[in-house]
Amino acid sequence: MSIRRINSTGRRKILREDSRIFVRPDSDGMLMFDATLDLTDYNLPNDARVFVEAYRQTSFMRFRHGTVAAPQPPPDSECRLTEFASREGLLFRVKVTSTGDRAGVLLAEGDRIPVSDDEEQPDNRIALLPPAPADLGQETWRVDLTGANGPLLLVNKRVGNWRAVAASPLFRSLVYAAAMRQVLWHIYIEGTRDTDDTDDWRCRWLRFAAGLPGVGDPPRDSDHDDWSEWITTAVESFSRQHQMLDHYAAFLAAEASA
Amino acid sequence: MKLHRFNDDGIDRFSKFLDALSADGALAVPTDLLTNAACSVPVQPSPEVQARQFASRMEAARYLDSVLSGVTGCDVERDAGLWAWLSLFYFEELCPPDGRGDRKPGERARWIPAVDEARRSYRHLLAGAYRVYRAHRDNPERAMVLLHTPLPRTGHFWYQLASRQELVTNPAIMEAATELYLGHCGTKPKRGATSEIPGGVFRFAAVLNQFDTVWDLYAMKKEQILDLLPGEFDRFREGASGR
Repeated sequence: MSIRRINSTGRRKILREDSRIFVRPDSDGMLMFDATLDLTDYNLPNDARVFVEAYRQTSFMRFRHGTVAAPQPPPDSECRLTEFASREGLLFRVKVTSTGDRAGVLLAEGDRIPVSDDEEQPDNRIALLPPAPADLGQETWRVDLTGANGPLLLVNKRVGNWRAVAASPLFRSLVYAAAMRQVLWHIYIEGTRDTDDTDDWRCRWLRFAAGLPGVGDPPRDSDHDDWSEWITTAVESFSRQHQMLDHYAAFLAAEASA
Repeated sequence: MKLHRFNDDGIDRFSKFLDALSADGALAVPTDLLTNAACSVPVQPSPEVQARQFASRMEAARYLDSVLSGVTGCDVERDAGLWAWLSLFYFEELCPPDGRGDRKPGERARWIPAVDEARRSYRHLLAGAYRVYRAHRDNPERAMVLLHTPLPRTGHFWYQLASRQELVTNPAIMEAATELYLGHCGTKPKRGATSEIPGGVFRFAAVLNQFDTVWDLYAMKKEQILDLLPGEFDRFREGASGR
């Protein structure tokens, strides 16, 4: 189980929409990044230092990005992501740290920032269970609950076009309800009950489930039976809303008539 | 032998062998897969890899770095077929038979890297050590706390530190952990270091995980990290350079 971290000093969370990172290859094929940061609404000291960090597993690079009042992206020659041969799985972190007497104290942070796609339009929707390819041996799919930014629905990349599989009515009808149940039980076991902290993926999931027709807020206590009933109600409502059985039956009918 | 990587069929067949080995630990190792053209393809520009014994994970990582440094055309760290092939190539080293002749391979991620799963990818016996070495290649000795063990052994240092990106990539934290828990001999943990006692590595990971929310730990030096640690770490701090 992951260790929960307590924000005891009130550091601010830098939102995804205020920290956009673009990655492109240079003329030699080496990856480079551009960071577009908007820190104006975070009430940070003007002289606080800004850093951008790129990481993936044990690969890590750190770049100075000037100060809050005077952002200074590194020149092109120093924006090269020499530690990363591909952008797959690449994540970024933005840190703002104090200077002076409290030098090194973390004032604000945005973590697990994915590469923004150049073609991407601004979109503030939160994908609660984004699919991602993975080599899962003979398993077709798996919910990965190890990431700090929320669960992933891993689809075995050997199925062929994994995006098409993940989006197919058959897959969705058979997988999504089970995956949702698994995520909610994980949240219960981890002990999250708060629904106010929208920066926390667990809270976003609880709010999502609570907002489904006929579900309501999750139990305040940790009674297993109460949570079991609440989760079952949420999954039922989700399945009803998305007509999972109808989609499955329609697929079978189409297969039979083909 | 020329370095190869498994294709999907190679990974499948190696995977099936591992399954079968879990049920029958005396099975013969299918080394023919290493050069079977249906299962593996040469890596360019075809460096040689030698069958050999390694005294530690550090030695293995250093050797693999020398072999793989010239490889082009693939993302070495994320190439599951390459690491699965190397796992079979060094199988005798990585999974020696016990006194009764049985091999116990353990979980799959030790042999075929789970490259898409951040929390499991570090468990690969070879790729994990190689990545740590590469992350600290300007001074690999600082990561000795993770690399001092025999090749098939990972242990609590590994699971507590290598599993956390913020810790394993931080030079000062790795240097502090090595100094704190291995001391100056650098090859053997201090007594109790891997126990769940105050000041042990479990607490080290938990305390720094919390400090990471307060401090910019990447900006710190080893001495500053050691000075930040509370009194419970004093028993291990003896001989270390903090305080």
